[in-house]
Formats: sequence, structure tokens, C-alpha cells
Amino acid sequence: MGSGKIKMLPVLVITMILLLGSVFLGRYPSPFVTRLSDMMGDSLVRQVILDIRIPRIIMAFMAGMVLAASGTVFQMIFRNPLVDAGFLGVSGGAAFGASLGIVILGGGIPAIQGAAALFAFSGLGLSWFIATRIKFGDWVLRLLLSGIAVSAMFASGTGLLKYLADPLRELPELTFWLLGGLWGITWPDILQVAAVCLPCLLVIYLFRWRLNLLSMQDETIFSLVAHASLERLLLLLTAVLATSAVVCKTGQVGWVGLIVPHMARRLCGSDAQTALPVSLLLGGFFLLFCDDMSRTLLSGEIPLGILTSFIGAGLFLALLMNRRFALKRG
Amino acid sequence: MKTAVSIQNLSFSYDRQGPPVISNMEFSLFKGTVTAVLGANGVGKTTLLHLLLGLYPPDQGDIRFFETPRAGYKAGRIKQLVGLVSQNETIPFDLSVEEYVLLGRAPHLGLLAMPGPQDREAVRTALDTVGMTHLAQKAVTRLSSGEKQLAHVARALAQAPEILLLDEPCSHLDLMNTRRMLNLMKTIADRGRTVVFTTHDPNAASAVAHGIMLVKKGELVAFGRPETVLTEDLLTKTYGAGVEVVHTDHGPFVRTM
Repeated sequence: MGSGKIKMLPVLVITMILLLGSVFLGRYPSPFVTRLSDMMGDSLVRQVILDIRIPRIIMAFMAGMVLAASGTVFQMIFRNPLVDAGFLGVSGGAAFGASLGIVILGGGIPAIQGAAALFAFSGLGLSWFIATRIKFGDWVLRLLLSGIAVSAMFASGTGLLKYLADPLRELPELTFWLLGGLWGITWPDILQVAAVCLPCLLVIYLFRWRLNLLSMQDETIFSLVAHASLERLLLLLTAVLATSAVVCKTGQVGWVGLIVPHMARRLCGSDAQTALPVSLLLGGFFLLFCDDMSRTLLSGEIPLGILTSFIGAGLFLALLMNRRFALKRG
Repeated sequence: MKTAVSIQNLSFSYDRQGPPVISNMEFSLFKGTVTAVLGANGVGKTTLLHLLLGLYPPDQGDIRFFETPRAGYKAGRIKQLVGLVSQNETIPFDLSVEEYVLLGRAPHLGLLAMPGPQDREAVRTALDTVGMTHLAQKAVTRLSSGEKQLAHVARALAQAPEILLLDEPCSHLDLMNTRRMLNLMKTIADRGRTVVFTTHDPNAASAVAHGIMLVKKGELVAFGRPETVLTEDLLTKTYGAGVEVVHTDHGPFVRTM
């Protein structure tokens, strides 16, 4: 555990450097790097930084932390290192809800975000309900199987809505939402998301050691934990609530919840007491890094989900091909 | 001697319509003893341990620990009282042996408490008891089967339960590790804990157990001292196959015919 804490320090330092450096990255007034003299001398540049760039940096970092923390919770509770919010119908439900908001409910921001949150929770609720009706396998297997089925149903619904969408007006908006992005994030958005996500992150952080316990098999958990089902439910609901609060604002941002917990475990070991805080930092770092590229590389915005998937998949392959990488069970 | 576990008229079935897995079982186990549960595959040995643990509620009957009904204990207290080492326990992430054994301290910690120096001391003692101190920093997933099994027992020892349930602790172990595991159970019982373990090996049972239960189709065929239970008649009745029992200075020795 001691070495884990020591390894956390460089991550913290690099993250701080990126957080600070991101303020200087952008395409206004000139592409890539904003000079300090421009910031000091030009009030419009200062306004761009204060009202657009900084809220976006905060949102990217917070969303990265949330997706990584949720990924850690999902992977540990489901005892499966290949699980993230995509399972359990959470992401699928949010995508379907947002598509419904755009195509059927008129496309207003409250309609998109409200429907995304509602269906993210419906995804979890439905997966949970179906899992209680499955007559074989342990709790984790039942929930995973029902989650896969519910996700597939939502995916087919999203596909239908894409098919029905107006190709000139609704389809581009729908496609852009499904690819994710942080354009147009404002200070009120930050406050709304923080009001939900920070308490959720605190709960997950406080339960971090118990995540180790909840990753054991059913009989072992039962012999050690008095109210295991309640703890699992609390952590899953917290992770889903935080994820849906983020996804409502950012759209679909894949791979963060899958790859970041792996990176954290590789860096400082599997004990969630250390791996979770490192995961939070790395998640924030990863999404901020991707968003910096998304808004800086080209004159137009590159959808964030494209970059997180591209970089995430690359990192995942690198981890898989590394000899020290192990997905084996005990 | 103090009674640690007493079972009255215990019956259980996974499916109310189906045949009972445990049927009208009755027995008492004294504190500080080792009891072996012997029987063929699928006769309800593991289910019996799970019922003692409280994983399933019995359809009928009474389970008491130290004369108090199981339901009379608070949920948190029962986790300090009864520990289980499952058969083929799997650990999905690369926890070190020390981190894994530390999980055994959970019943002694508050909901949001982190393990402290006292808990780490309990882990050191548990690792010392099973002879794995030198492997404390090794990943559990990289241990051999025998070492893994000992790590599971160390986790249960760190839990410090009064009653320790071990589901086939000697399966997959070589001769030396089997002997080590049997000696370990004896040591645990000598320290006043009550040990119940399931096994397929009558000789392993007779080597260490104070009492042996023979189970067939969820029913108790016999329960008593090894020399009274490990007889050709009772074993044939339990397994449905002929066996020969040779009486040695170290107790009965069973071999199949």
C-alpha cells in the first residue's frame, strides 16, 4: 500500500500540470497555445478562458473522474475487468433516452438530458428486475446477462430512432450526441453536474476498501459482510447516478470507464484503497487530455467519443500485448 | 464441554417442489473440536455448511450457536462468529496475499472504517499460523493451488471466527499440503475454535477429526468418533460401494475394494 501511495504522487503532479496547461491550449486567439501576454492584454481572450475554456476543463476532469470511478465500481462488483457502464443497460439507456429527446420530444436540452437520465436508470432497473427472474447462475452472472439483453434492446430502439430521424435536422444532432463532446459547457452546467457527482464520488471514495470485499465471490462476501446486497445496491446506484449526470451533459464518451481502472491497477496494484484514488486522477487526466485534443487539433470540434475510443482502444491493446498484463482469475 | 453448534430437525430444499437436500438433521458439536462431514458427491455437504453460515434460510429446524438461536445474533455479530472457506474460491483481481487476508477483518470494522495497525497485526498472526509470512506481498492469483488454499484459511483466521467452516479444504492439494492443512485444522481447534470441514477422503477425516458425520442424500447416516463411524457397514451404506477398513495404531484406514 505504501508503494501505491508513492506512485500516486507523480500522477498527481502530471495531472496538475495538465490542468494548468489546458488553460493555455485552444484555438483563440491563435491555434494551439494561448500566450500569457494575450491573456493579460486582451479582455476577449480572458472572457473566452473564463467562460468557455475553464468550465470545459473542469467538466472534462470531473466527467473523467466519474466515468473512471464508476468503471472501477462496476468492474469490482461484477468481478469482471471487462465491464463498464455499457453493461447493465446504463449507457444504452442514456443513448436511447437522448435519441428519444432529439427525435420525438422536440430536441430541447431539458428533454434530451431528462430523457437520458430517466432511461439510464430504467436500464439499471430493468436489468435488476430481469436478473431477479433468472433461475440459474449467481447474482453477478444473472445481472450481467440481463444487462447485456437490456443494452441490446436499447441499442435497437436507438437504431430505430436514427432511422426515423430527419436526416437534415435531427440526425446530425443525434449523431454528434452519440459521439460525445463538451462543446457549450457553461458554469451552470458545472454546478448542476457537481451537485450530483461530487457527493457520489465521495460515497465511492469512502467505500473504496469495501470494494475489495465486494469483488469476492458470493459465499465469501456473505461470510464477511452483514448487508452485502445493500452495499452493492448503494454503490451501483451511486455509480449509475453519477454516470447519467455526466452523460446527460457530455453525450456518449466510451472507454474511459473500461481502460482507466486497468491503468490504475497496473500502476499501483489492485487494492481499491489506492487504485480508486489513482483511477480518479487518471480518469480526469485522460478525459481532459482527449478534450484538449478535441478542441485544439482541428479548426472544428472533433467529437470527444471518437478520441476516447481511439486512444482508449490503443492503450487497451498496448496493455493486452504487455507480458505483465493479467486478466486471470485466482 | 461447551456446545458450539446444535442443529435440531434441520431440513432444506432449493426448490420447494423438489426433494430435500438436507432432511431432518440433528447433531451437536462441542467447542474446540474438529468435525468432518463425509459423503458422496451431491449429498448436501456444501449445503449443510451454507445453512450453518446462513446463506439460505432452512425450510424447517433450528440452528443454534453457543445455545443461542442463529436469528438471535445481530447480522454483524454472526460474521464475527462463523467463517467460511469456500471450495475453489476465486479472486478476480491481483490483490497481494496481505491485502487479501486483510479482508477477513471486515466483520470487526465499521462500515466506512479502514483497516488499522491492529488489523494488520491480526493478518501477520494469521499468515504466521499458516506459514505464509514470506509470501505476504505475492499476488494471490500467482500462488499455487496449495498456497492459495492456505491463503483462504489465513483470511478466515484473520476473521477470528469461533466456528470455522471449510468446504473441501484438501481438494487439489498434494500429500504434503494435505498434511499441512490437516495439522492446521488441529492447531485451530486446539486454540478453542470449532472446525467443520467437508471431505471425500475418510482417511483425512480420521487423521484429524474428533467426530465424523456420514451423510447420504441429505440424511445423517451416522455421527461419532472415527473408530465407531468408519466401519465397513456404515461406509458401504453411505457410499453404496464396498470398502475395507483396516484398523491401525493411528486409527481406522479405509480403502475401496
